[in-house]
Amino acid sequence: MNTDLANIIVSGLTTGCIYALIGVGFVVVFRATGVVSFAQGAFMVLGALLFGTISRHGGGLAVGLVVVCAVLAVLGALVYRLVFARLVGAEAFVLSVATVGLGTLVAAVVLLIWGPTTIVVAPQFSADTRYHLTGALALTPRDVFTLVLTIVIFALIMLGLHRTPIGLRMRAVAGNARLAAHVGVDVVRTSTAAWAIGGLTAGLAGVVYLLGTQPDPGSVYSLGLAAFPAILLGGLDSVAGSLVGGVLIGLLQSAIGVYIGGEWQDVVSYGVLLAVLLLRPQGIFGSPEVARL
Amino acid sequence: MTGSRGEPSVVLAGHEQRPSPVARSRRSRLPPTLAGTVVFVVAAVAIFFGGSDNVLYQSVLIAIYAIVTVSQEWLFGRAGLISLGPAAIMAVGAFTTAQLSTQGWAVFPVPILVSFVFGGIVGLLIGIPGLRFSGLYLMLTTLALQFIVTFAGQKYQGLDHLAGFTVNPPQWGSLELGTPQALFVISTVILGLILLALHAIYRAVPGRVWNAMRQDEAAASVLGVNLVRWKLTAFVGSSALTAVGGSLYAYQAAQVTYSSYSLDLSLALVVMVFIGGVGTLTGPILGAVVIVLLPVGVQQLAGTLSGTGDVAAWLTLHQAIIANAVYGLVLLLVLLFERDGIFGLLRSLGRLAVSLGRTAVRR
Repeated sequence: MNTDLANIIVSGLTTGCIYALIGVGFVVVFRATGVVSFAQGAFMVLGALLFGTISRHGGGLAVGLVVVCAVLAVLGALVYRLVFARLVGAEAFVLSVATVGLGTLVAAVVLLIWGPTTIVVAPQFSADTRYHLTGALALTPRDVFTLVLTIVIFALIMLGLHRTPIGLRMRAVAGNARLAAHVGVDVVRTSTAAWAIGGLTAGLAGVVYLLGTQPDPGSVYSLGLAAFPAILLGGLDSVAGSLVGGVLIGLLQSAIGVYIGGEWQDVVSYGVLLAVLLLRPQGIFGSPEVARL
Repeated sequence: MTGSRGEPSVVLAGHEQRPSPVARSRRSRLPPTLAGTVVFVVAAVAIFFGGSDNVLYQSVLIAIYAIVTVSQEWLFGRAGLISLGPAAIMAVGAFTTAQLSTQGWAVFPVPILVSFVFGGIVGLLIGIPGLRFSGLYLMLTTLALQFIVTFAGQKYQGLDHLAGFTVNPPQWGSLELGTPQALFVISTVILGLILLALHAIYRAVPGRVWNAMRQDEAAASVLGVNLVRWKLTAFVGSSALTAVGGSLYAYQAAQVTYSSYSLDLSLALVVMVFIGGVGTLTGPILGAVVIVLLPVGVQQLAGTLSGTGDVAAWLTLHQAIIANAVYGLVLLLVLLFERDGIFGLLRSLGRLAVSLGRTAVRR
């Protein structure tokens, strides 16, 4: 295996993991509350900046992750209770516009607190260690961390949705919220949990992105939007789809980065989005009904 | 999600359902066209004769943004669709204008008319994949359009035109139309014509068809409305008008560069329509006023506070971010508490004043 291919696979997988983490939060929120959220990017910025600050004050990886998860989950839940629970019954596009406003507000407040400068993080992993797999394929500790974290999060969400009572309620609300309410499911509480998961995973995506590079807040924010092709490819309402779509788009983008040029990455993945819309609007794993909503 | 507007898809205890803003009756005692026209003309004349060059400049900007917000409201408030790429469509008009303005044969109104046509064509191309399914998909295709247009603009400018393309000022023979006064007349007249045309369309059959479609797609479809065709009509029409706004924007700036037509501008325009008020023609114009005057307001505030040093410096440094925070917050407040936006707020205040006045007279 040559070095180019190895690089494409490794960087594609790690980028794909970031898209997958953004996407899974989006999917959980979309399924539970029908909201197409454009606020994931803003939650990512907050997660990244929080983690950066904690790491620079000597907090370790574990402390940082716990704080980011806790803060973002609470914020997600609050956002649902304060805004989206009160907008139930509004048209789908009004809900989306509300997420645009929410994202703008959160990002602006975060920028006012932290300033628009590059986010610096204390190094969390040794830069020289390489785990050699086959041929030229080698992983840095940061790659391993990204992959393991993503797998753990997806495993927890899938298990949670299919093996726990709250997961059952979430799937019930996703299937038919009115019916779920009639059989005694507390729709508000279930949706709050979904938004908490949405905020938490977006925050983690921000942390993972931050560990790989030193971005400015604006580029973190736009990454939240760059994840849409991946989300649509996987299927707007499929948890597994967000992982598969994320990894596919991640691999495609890193191949383009190597062979064509980095500036083509976003435009090609949005080309994929248009192609998916024309050929298979429900995505790979999505249910066909979503397309007709 | 919901079949009919204002009807909750989920019944939740403790969460009262507000009637949808647009579904509320739009009738009022004064014929709104007459009152609106008088206010519009009086304001335009006053600004033309009384305004300094700076006031004229800001007013042209308001008129241009108003053209765009009014055409976006065509989508949101009439057809029940949403686009996230108005800035991309503006860029289509702006680049068209930049290219044509340097051609001798394309005398003044021609670039605007060609922008109108090109905007419509782009709307058609992007609307066909986007409108086959739910409104959600138009949101995603227009988001894609935004990225594609930004990228194409960047590639087109290349290294030779890093700062963008120069736009030659409009001219009729020896008559210069690039002055603030001339641009003000041009943009105000175009805005006025668009408002009259849209008002007529909304009151006629198409307006009623969109109304029916927005309130209940299934019912409208059963009555024989071709949903895709009517959605496409609204999207193509609003794109054509948005491109006209972009064309005027190019003339105003005398230069076109892709970075002016960012996703940020698109989102700000969408947000402004909602803040101004969906469901009327006045609302989006108020939104355009806010989009232009809010940053100016923050700047003024910084100027007034200049004695206090740090605060003023902080305000000046962060004015764009502060404006963003205000947009976001006001949008959420509008959606939660006054779905008719600033227009609805002003209308309620007006009614309150009238009823207070009546009580006073009776006594």
